[in-house]
Amino acid sequence: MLLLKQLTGRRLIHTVPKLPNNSQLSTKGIPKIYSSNGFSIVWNNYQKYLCDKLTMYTSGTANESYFPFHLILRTAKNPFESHIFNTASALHNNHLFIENILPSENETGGPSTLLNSRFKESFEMEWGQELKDNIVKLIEEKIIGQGWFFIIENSDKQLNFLTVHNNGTPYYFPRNQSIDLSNAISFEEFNDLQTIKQAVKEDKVKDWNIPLVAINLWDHAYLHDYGVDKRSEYIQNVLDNLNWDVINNRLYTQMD
Amino acid sequence: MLSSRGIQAARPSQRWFQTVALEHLQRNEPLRGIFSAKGLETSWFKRIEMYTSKLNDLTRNNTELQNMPIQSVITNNLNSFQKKDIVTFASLIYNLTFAMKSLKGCNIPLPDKLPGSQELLKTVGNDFSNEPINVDFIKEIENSFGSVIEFRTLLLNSNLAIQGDGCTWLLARKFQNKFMNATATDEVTFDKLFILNTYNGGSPFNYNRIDMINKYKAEYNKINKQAPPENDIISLEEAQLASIEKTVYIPLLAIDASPKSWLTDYGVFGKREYLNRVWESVDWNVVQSRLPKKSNIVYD
Repeated sequence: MLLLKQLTGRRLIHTVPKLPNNSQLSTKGIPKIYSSNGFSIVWNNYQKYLCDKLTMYTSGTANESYFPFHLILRTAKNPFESHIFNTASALHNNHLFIENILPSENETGGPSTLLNSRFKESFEMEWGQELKDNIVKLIEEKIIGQGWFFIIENSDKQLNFLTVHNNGTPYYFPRNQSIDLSNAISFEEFNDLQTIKQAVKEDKVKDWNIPLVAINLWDHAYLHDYGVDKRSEYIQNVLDNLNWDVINNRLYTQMD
Repeated sequence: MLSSRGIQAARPSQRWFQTVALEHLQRNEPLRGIFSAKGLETSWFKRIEMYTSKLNDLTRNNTELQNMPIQSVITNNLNSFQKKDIVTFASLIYNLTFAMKSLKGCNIPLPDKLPGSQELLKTVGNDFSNEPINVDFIKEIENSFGSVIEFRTLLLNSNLAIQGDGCTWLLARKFQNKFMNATATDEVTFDKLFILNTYNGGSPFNYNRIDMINKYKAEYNKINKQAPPENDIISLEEAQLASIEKTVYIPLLAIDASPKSWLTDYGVFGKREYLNRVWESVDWNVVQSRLPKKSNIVYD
């Protein structure tokens, strides 16, 4: 009886997830990526800001008992709930990001053999400096404001790069927000938008993308430690110090 | 950069976009009440240098563009996808410079402790001491927004609603006589004030791209063999688009929304406090001086 009550009357307040070695991270930062202050801004402060905001938007409403991931999918289609979508998506993305840069015990780690073969199939090269340079260049070209970068695995087990503006999500392509509509767009981009519009209208959106690598491109993530004009240096540092234990685990593997 | 300057010396006719310098903003000095010296370095100096050097990279070897005023770079290339990046960085320079020009600073000391999560419960409120001085200008604000308080609330809340980069603008709508063709000698006048948000490298001169979208739509319909709609009844959306198609706005005031402007001095929770200081720091003389004459006719 008590159990049933617990299940039906569940309330959810969003709080900052506890990371392993949280106190050490707060005093020492993340070696080679963040100072202690830089880490505090992007995680302790920014994640709290997002959690508090999401709690404010959802408590006492039908959205109260959902996890951020479900809130993303639930609100993605509704323009009147974009404030919830934006906050939930930022919160989820930032958690993905901080997880894949946590200091690894396995310092010499890299992509697993399986993941590296996926890199080779998808980009014609294994993980290395050339691929990292391509990523830095891509971000430099695509994101002039705030945003996120992802390496995603699609339903055909191919890997892709994905840049999103502001707080787009990798899970639902009509809300990828990859195209900046602030200035002129190309006919191809217009075409993509029409296709997306049609897919949403006919309710034919199938998106099974899973983000493997996430990088925060918001000012909160680099302004303090790197400065306005050093975002590429920050991205390079992140790419050099990814936690491959976490990323290898995110890859789909057939369990025997 | 050094080698490029060497080329410039060899060919004196070539001009670069120079990094804008504003008299009231000095390196290593704060802008009283709004930016610390470090905050100003991030929100202005480093940024304007970065945008200018990007624009110079993008327009390298294009002397025609490099000899244009920034505003013409934007307005002449609005619909060109090839020049999209050039327009973007020209807009970023124009927007940031425009926003900074009317900020004179204020007397409230900078917060000694960064605002915390209780900020989320606060509104922009109506506790302020700086406001427009010119009686005619106040009358225009009242005509368009109801009152100065309503205007301030709409202006600051519009900016708070921008989650990433962008600007909130106060604009005057250029009066266009619907019955007579304008001639070059006609004086520029306005009939109403508006507030507009632009995002990333968006520009108040580029708030609609109807021509381009219509062209794309026609092309898309042709390729997909979709006949244009049979009846000539237009939708509400189309009617609204048609009515703003030729409208021109004259910018009076811009507020930058980017975290680059407020993260250093106000912290993650501090955007509202930053906007408060922006309002207190506005030099209304500068804003008023940008306002053209009022037109004799006003369309609603």
